[in-house]
Amino acid sequence: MKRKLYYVLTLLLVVLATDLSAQTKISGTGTQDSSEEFFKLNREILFNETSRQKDITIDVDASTREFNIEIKSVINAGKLKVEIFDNNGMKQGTFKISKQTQADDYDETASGSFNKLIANPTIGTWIVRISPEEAIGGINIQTYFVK
Amino acid sequence: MKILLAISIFGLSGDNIAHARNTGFIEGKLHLDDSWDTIIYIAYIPTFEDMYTMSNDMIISSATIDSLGNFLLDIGFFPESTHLYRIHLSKKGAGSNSIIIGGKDENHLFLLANRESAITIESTLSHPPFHQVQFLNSAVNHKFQSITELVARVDSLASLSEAAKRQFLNKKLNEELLVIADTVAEPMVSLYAIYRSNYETDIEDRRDFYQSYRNKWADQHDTYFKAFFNKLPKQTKSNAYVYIILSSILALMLGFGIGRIKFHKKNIIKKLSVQEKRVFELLKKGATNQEISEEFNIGISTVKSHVSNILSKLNLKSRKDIIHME
Repeated sequence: MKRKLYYVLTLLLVVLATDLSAQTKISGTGTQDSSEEFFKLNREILFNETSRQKDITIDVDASTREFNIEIKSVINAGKLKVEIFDNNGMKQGTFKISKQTQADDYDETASGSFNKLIANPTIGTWIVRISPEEAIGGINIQTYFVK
Repeated sequence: MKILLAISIFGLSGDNIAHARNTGFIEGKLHLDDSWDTIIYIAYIPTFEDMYTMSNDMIISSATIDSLGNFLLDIGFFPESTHLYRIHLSKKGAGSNSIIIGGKDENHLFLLANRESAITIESTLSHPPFHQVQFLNSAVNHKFQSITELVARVDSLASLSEAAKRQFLNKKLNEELLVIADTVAEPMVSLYAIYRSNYETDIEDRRDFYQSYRNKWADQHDTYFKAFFNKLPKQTKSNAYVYIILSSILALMLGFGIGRIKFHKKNIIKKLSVQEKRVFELLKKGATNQEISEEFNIGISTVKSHVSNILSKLNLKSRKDIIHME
């Protein structure tokens, strides 16, 4: 049952990521035109009941003119807290999702997403802190950089 | 006939009953495309820290949105006291437990309500569905929403600005929010302004402000204020006790010191002879040698001798010192 769950969640996250790519001008790394360069960074993390807190770092360098961070998460059980800190350590956003599992309730999920666009970002490292609590699910973090 | 009557009675939905009353409902009109489910949910938010928590057990009711975007939520079962709630939509396929923060698909709206509330909202945008929402008949939610819009506006401007300007805008926003928190009459609106500011980063720097804020709203015992007061530094009470104890010790020491000095002076006076004590008393009043001589019927030279002895025994330099003695 759990394996089936992982497959369902993985599929769901892949669908989410694919759907997002289809809506954007770019996919992967490439040159859009002679004056701008776009990069997309896509990270997916699956977790289970024993997973612990994890920090995902996003480095912003001097050449970045604009960047957009988009986080999508889905859980089928447990709790998940997501916090987003900018390069100055200031919290830019947070959400917490929780799913009380009933015996026949595996199809129901709890989802949370966060989206923020920053133009002219300062150089440094953003952190996405993922704190699962006996959670079964996954998270997809997409960052778009305009150079 | 009886069957028709029964059907008409049981056919009345909770929503219709809500609308038949003048209070106890949230209604509105949204502009939605077909990417959204046609159900609107309402969740109870126990503290401002739970604003962005989504859990299936927080959802307390739901209603269907018709093809024109109209909905009606019955809240006649809400508590009498005002609490924070969140209404939200879900994208098709996402399920009811879904929160989206930021971007064109932000899916929720916060509001204050109780069982007597009659709230009508109107949205003019479809992306996101709850931006530029107007509360048509709820003054407290109008103020509440104005804070949400202020934050959204500045955040939008700041995100497009250079770093220095962004910092300036955020600083000004925080100051504005604290002014709102300090001046608005409604306690929940005031607390909401605090929570939308960066209060966690400047609790120590603005200790006096938050202490004053705590004193102002000390009579608010709901979960919202309790949660916030728990976040404020707790040392103020223990600091007060420390100050009281230290002050008491200092007062004791001062009193002891003064007592010791007085005791010392009394002892010194005892060293004077009987006649010298009499002369001392007149010297304290500023009497001249001539006046002392006439008073005690003694010669001037005898008076001068007594004065000299008194100054020596009391370790004083002049008659002035005797006058200024306590």
